[in-house]
Amino acid sequence: MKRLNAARQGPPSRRSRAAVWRKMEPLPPTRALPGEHKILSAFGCARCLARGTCLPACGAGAAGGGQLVGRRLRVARDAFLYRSGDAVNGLFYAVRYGSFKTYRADAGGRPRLAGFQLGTDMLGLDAIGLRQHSCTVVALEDSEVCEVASDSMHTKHQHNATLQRFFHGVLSKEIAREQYLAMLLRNTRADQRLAAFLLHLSWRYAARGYSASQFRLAMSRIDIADLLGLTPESVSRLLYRFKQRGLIDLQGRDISLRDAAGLKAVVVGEGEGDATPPPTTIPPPRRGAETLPDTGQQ
Amino acid sequence: MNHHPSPILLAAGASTNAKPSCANCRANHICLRSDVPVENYGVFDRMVQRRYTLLRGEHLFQMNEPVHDRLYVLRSGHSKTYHLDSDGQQRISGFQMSGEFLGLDAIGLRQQRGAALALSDCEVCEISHRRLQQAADQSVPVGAWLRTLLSKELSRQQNATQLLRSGRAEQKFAVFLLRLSWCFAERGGTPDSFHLPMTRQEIGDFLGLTAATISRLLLQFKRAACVDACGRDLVVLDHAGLRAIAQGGDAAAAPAQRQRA
Repeated sequence: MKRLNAARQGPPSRRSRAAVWRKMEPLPPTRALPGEHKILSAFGCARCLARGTCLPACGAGAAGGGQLVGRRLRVARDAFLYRSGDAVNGLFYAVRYGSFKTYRADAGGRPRLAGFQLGTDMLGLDAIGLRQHSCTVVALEDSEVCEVASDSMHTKHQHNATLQRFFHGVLSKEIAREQYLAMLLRNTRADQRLAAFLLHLSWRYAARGYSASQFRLAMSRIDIADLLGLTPESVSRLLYRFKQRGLIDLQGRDISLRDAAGLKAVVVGEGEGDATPPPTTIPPPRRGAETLPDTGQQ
Repeated sequence: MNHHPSPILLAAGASTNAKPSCANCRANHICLRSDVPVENYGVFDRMVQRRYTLLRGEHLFQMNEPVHDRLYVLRSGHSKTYHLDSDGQQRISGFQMSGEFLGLDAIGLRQQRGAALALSDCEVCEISHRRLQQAADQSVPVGAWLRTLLSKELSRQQNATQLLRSGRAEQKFAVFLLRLSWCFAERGGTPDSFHLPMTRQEIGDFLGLTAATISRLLLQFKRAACVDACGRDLVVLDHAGLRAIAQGGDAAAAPAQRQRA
């Protein structure tokens, strides 16, 4: 945990980040999953504030909702919910509150950031039917999750048909979201990626009943950079640039979107790159190399 | 037009006289997996509304077309899915082979999110999502099968996304070729030589690179004696060498990879 804290607070230079990766690389499979977390008594979905957007939202009713979830786990900030190699045990998790980040191994076997999950998002959806998790999930803040058994869609549950359909919709949306993220990483400039990321985040907060224009970034600049395939420096510089252009207001991690339409224009690729050169051409970013126009030289 | 039929299409025995069913499908081990016992194949046969052939270059569905509650599986052949961006330019979002599903990202939606186009002549099974859902409601194994299918597709998509973040162009392309080779092997072909169903431009779009880079990388891999390529026919000469490139040439990363696999 201390390592991750160091990663969070350390200077956002590329060298330090490489050092953090090297330290993080061996993620030994552990089995002591629940022992690390405070286990709370199951909490009826009927009383949960997230019931409007979480699994019971399909109208399966208060009667059935309580049986759907197993235990509640409280996960401290920077603690692992599960690590790659951990047993799945037929479970996935619904985030009750808080936020998480997911790491997935890349082609070289190094864990890389793959996504952020907020309240009422599901974790472990990619491991249904598998024995072992291939992702590692870390809490970004003190959070709580509910355990759901993936076969509970069938047994015990009165309204399983509706619930099952709702759940398939959740999985389908998750696939589409991942496709969108992939689309964002192909042939787009850094400013387009960051603007789309901010808009997407705002939209996700709005869908959960929070303010769409004012929120606190749960994730560090380093995490955002990893997700978008950029360097932390360009994320910081772009945030500053957006601020200068009056698109956002930024104080530490508190962000307010002042001009969502302007951000949308950036995503589409308007108005940027004419007055100032595209930001990716200034530094030679190692990770963001795919955004550079390819010169055909190795 | 010099059209090379893909080895898969030939292997699938497209001209057999038997009525196509799940039992005589060459890709049923990928589509239905081992979860489904052979005697239950009839359940899936009944979900298939129709089976038809799609010629190369034909669209399976267009962007924003009504979904009509349909899912599709390729019985044979290859396809690509793409989105059109605001400039009307094609953005490739994936390639599919026999046994793989299309339309899983549009379940419960009215309109297709993207478009799908046949890269070679394809046989397609059109599945009624409503019937599939009903079967999943009634039978526990079918429900579990459908959940796993969606979960696997999510995992596959996450891997595709991860490929875009990870490192250099040659790494991405090497991983792409290895995955392709593995996919051909899984379908009963040889992992060492295959015919690329997609153009260099399409591969470039998919990996966030240019067609010129793909051609240059192919030449680079040829010089390193990892692959041999003639047109779209590809021979993988050195799997280990390709894997080393995929892992970024980082020797320290290799044991970690093996441990995970």
